[in-house]
Amino acid sequence: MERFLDKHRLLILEDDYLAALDLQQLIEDFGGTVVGPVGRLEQAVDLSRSEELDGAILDVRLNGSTSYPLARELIDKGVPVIFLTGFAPGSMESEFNDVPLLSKPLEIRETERVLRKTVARPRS
Amino acid sequence: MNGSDQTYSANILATVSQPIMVLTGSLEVENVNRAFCDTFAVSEDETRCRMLYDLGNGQWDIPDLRRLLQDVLREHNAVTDFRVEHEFESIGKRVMLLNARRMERAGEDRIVLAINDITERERQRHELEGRREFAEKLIDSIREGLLVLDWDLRVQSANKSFYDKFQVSPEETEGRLIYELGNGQWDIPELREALEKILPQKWAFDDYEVEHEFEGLGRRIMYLNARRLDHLDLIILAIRDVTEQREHERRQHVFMRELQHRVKNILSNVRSLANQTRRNSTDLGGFFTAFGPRLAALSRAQDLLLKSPDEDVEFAEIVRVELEAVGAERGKTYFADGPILKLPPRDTQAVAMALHELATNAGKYGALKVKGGHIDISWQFDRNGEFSFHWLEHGASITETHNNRRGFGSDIIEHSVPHMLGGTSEYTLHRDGAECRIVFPLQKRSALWSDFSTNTGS
Repeated sequence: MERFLDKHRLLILEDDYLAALDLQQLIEDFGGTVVGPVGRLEQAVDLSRSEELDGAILDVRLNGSTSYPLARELIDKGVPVIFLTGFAPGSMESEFNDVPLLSKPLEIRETERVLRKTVARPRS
Repeated sequence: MNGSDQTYSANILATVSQPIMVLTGSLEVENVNRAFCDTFAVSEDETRCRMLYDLGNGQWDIPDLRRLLQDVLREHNAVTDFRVEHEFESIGKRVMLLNARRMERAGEDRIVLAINDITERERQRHELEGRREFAEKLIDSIREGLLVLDWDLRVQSANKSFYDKFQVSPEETEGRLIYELGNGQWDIPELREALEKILPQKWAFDDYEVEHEFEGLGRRIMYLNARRLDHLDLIILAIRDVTEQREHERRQHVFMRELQHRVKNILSNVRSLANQTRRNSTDLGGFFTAFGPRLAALSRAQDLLLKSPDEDVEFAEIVRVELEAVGAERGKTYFADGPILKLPPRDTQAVAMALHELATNAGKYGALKVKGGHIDISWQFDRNGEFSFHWLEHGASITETHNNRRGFGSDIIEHSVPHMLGGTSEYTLHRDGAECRIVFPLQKRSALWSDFSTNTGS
């Protein structure tokens, strides 16, 4: 697998541990460094403020809330955001129409495509 | 009385369209008119100069008629609208109103009997009454609210469903303008539009949707169906309340979305389980041996969630299911002790995964592998809603190799609960087996710890 995420730091917010672990390993296989993974919004907000991030993958619906507030904050700071969801495409709030979406269950090639397009910096 | 008189009266008789018979005082038929013959399907010859009661095989021998002629006419010279019902052999059942008059002619008694055959009128009246009853019963049996309105939109009547549904009485409804009903709460712009604009142009409208906030009833969504009855100058307005149906559809929709979400998440878990298992397997056979039980554990967690109607699952049940899945027996190879506590779906899933891995490891290397080994399992929660769980194995012999073998199972044990629910998990391998202490905050929403903490005092 090509390590196109070398030296990239990606935050993972996904409350389902198995799903988070899976995504973490995929990112690491692509050469990236995972910040987290965390399962709760407050943890993710703390990390997003204390860590240098090249991108964030956020599960949309968390236990009883959504990751929308964090997504807004990150987008405002210029950090690329990718949503992760088990809901059907098109069920997202319209303000996030431009945010790339990864559907569960993850598919490796689709995940790679989205990561390359959204997060990966051209190699210097 | 002379001959010309007779001809004169016979001519009068002939022109009258009502059946008339003239009898002598001894009840012999002196004359009948054409209308009589037509109505009773007889000829004049069969009738004239015969005794009344002998006519047509005695079919005029009617008790009521006897009473009229023999009793009533003795006291009164004239009787009107004397009702007689009789089954005639030739023409069937007849209902008649008899007008009788006694008079004297040429020194003899004569009785003129005019017969008003109201059989058809009676039949129509019955039919009409029947139809009215049918219509009334039909309207009352309908579960939709029904209003019958005049052309000027005054309520002529309403059915029971309408009164029940909108909590009004007939007194405050009938004769009122529809817009005045219930303090004017039927003065709805859409209803005005439908009744005043649409109905005059078309003779009906169907499923016209109106949403309105009713006092005491709240917001209702209604379908209105109307029919103009032009012959009666009436309007029938049927009101179907679809509020509950709409709410049901909305819930159904939400439920389907939830289900879809859950299915996607389960598939995502399956993918992850497969991937993690693959990383710790050296060959396909080994992969499958480890993957199968994990898939089964995921499935058991779903069973637990679907079994409870409110989806909260009792913790003791999770312990039982996971331990029995690896062949442990309560009271022999495991001992469980703790208060009644129900966990919401998320907590159940996280805890079930950790318990499955603990039980699997105990079967592979720990207390369930050796004869005489056992596991002590206990749990409790405190007043702050913090749940703590303790797993302690006895009698196993853990070697250095086991200790170094920290795979996916240990990962799940140590991280699934803290990641999903917060809290901590400490997993230690001692010489005689594993020990694990998991602590996490209960969700106040549905964990019920607040209810039970007062009851059990644990």
